[in-house]
Amino acid sequence: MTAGLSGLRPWLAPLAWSLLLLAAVLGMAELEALFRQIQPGTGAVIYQRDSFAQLLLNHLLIVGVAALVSVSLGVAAGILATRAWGRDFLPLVSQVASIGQTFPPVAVLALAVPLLGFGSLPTIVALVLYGLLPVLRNTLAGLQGVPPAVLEAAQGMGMAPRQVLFEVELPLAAAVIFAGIRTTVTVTIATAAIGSTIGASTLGDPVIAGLVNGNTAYVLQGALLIGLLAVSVDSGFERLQQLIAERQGL
Amino acid sequence: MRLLSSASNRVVLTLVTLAIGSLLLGDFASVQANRIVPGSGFGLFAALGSAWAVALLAALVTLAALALHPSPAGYRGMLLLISLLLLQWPASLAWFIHTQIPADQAQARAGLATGCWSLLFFALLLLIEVRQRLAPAAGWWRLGPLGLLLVTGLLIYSGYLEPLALLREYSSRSAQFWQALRGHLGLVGGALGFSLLFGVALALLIRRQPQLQRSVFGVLNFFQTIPSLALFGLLIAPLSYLAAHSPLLQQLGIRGIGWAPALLALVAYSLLPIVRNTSVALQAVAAEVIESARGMGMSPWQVFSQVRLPLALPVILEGMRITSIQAIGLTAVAALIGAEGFGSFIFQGLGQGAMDLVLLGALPTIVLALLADALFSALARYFQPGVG
Amino acid sequence: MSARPMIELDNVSRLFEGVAAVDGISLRIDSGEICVIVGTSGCGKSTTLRLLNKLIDCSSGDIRIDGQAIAQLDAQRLRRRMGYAIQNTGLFPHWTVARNISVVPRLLNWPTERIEARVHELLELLGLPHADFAHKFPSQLSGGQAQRVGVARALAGDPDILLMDEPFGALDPITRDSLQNELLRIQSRIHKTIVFVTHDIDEALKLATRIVVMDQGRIVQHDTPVNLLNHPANAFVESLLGQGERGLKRASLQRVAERMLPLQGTPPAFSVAAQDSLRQALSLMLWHRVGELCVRDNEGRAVGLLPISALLHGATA
Repeated sequence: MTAGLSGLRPWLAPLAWSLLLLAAVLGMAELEALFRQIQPGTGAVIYQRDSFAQLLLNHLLIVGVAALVSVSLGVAAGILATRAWGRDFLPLVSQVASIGQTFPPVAVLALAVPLLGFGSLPTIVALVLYGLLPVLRNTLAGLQGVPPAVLEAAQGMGMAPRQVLFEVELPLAAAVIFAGIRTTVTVTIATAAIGSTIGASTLGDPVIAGLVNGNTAYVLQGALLIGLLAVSVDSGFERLQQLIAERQGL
Repeated sequence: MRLLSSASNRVVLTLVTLAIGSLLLGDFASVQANRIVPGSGFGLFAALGSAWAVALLAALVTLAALALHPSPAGYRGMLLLISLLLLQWPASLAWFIHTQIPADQAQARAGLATGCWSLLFFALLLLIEVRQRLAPAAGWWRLGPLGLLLVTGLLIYSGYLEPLALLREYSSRSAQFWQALRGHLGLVGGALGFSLLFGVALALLIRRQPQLQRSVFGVLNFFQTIPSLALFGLLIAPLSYLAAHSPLLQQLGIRGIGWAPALLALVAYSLLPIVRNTSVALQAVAAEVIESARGMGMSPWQVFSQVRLPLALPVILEGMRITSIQAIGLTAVAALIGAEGFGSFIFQGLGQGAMDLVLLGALPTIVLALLADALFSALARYFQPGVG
Repeated sequence: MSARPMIELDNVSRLFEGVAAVDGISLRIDSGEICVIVGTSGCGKSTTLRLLNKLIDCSSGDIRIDGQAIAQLDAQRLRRRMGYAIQNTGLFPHWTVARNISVVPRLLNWPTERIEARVHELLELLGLPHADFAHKFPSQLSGGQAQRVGVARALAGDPDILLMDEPFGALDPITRDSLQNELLRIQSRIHKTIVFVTHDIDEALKLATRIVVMDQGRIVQHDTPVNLLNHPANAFVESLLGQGERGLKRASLQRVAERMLPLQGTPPAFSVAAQDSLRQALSLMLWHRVGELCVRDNEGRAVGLLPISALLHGATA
């Protein structure tokens, strides 16, 4: 059906990137000859300690859990700080959100270790803390950007506070909040890769192993997969952002 | 509408409660006999003695009492108490070291535990909160944090904080530390310089050829999406290949690892904020302003240098702020591919399980980022038309 | 319409940080009235309006709607019984025109068919063809169209009371004039009780059955437009009316039909319509430099004579 195909077309970019990622994960071993060129010698040229599929899954799991938690916390905190009874906290929360984003993600990751030790859990905690900020900041900006006249009209027509929030404020802030979520996920994917250095098993593993052992082929394999993952996810988000904008007639 | 001043400040009450809770529940500081053995923790009273601990808690309770019925005078009182809390912070550490670590134990080291960190953290949050309740802003809110830095500096200089684990790590590699600082600043400065050069050129090119806008931003956005570890990794192979086949590049010190791939990646990341802010800034100058400048007989160069640039400068500086903060963080990551900077302490420390070494890398990185933020914000304010 | 009080304010005050924005006002608005509250900015007129639907609570005093004290009523239910239209329309930008209009009916849980019929009816009532406008978004409307939708939305739940806070304030004079006429036309069909806030005395004179003039939180005068013009209570009301313009303003409130004399002899060359205002008649006389006009009815028949003496004498009565 032409209608079906043309409906699919906007999803072409994210689909193509994801397929490329999948192909790279499953077919990396086929490229052994190519990697041999880069890393001459007799040693292994394809990273073997874990399968790339396993690393990708771990990476996605860590990013998924961290992003889910930070998005829920960030949006919730943003909503609470803009309600009548939470408004006292608004100035502090918004200042902390903007100062916090000055902290380099790698430093936040490193500081998690003295407090929580090595492994996936400290990585996730650090990712949550850092990923919270873009979502929080954009939630505040989005909710505060709703025109006062619209809020007054909503109240004046007798909407309950819950209805004003869910039917008016959040839909109007959705595009801005979603942009924050996209930033959070991008940062989380990148920082999770560095999480390999504090003991989380992610696609960063081959890169770190390659750097430690001077194996450029490993580095290249890890870097390629991390890059493809980031680009696939980001192009998916870009498409979703377009959908939100279209649905609002903007 | 409820009067803010007639109701309790719930923010201050919450923060004070959390501060007291973490002081009482967690260890305040710890002592290690040497670098290897695990440390033993000291609670607030054990660490500072009853008098100091009670005074500290009394100050916090007074703060909460003032927050119950805040008035302008009450807020000034709170600001005073917070400043004192900040000032006593380094002193309390020196006191802890003085009472708990005998001077003859050159290996013993003192560490900061949750209580100490959270006291600093909550005191700073309280400062942010109370400062913005004081309208017009009382300029002396700066006394607390500046005093904190000054007292810390004095105590370090006079040797009272010497046994602090962080300083022990520093003194055993002070030469490396300053080299790391130079390396870090060099890479960040280089990235900022190159991206400013190319970024402004690109922005001007886009102004001339608007049809390029989409593709330029497409490429720069694409770079931003690629995680740093991936970009660093992807640059190693082609750079080593080039270096291996070009004696000139080798002479320049370009190799697959080290500063070359780091700088290249940093510039790639830095271009987007610079180009975006520069082109926005140049476009945002109102057409009628340009029109009237031309109408008064200014040459194109005069229009650019006397009208466009001064009006655009604050926005460009904002781009440089974003770029420098980002570059400071990424330079730390670049230590993984052999670039110099504080990242090398972080990753060495992680490798050895030496947490104080991690701190020696992470804290200066954060401080650099905060300083860059403050510097470029101040510059942007200074050049803001009608303010400076 | 019967004249039972629809809205009653009894010694109502509202303080903001110790300062009275509304200071002990008492007011009675009958069913079917267009009560226009007029005054300079900061006089408390918008606050008064917002007290009525409990967007702001009274500091003291009682407000009764249809005999019920609103202090006892649930704010949301009360608001759903009242239409509310404001200056910047407050249309929800993420919803279509139809969805915007259906907000209150949905809150009232009307069945879908009834909501659809109501949207249809209101769009036609406000001169916005359903087929052309129902599925547009607010950003696709002109200022006047958006404000019509705002009025339609306020009327959607079939409220007895319509609260309007400078609804036409941001529109250009021509659009404003046509929307004022529209409001009068609609009101002649639906007979709501309308409380209308404006700072424009001409708008007040044109729309109101009775005008409330407010100054510094107090009611200075509450009267019909003609009485207001004839007997301004104090210097403030006089200045609001504009000293030099009062004669013309009063003339614009009266129809030619009220002043015309029986037709005698040949009708004069220049004509005026019977339902035109005396102001328009005067303007025609000045323009054509004549002392009398022929009055014609809707079908164009000559039905009377308007000499300048009748215009002047009637007006001074």
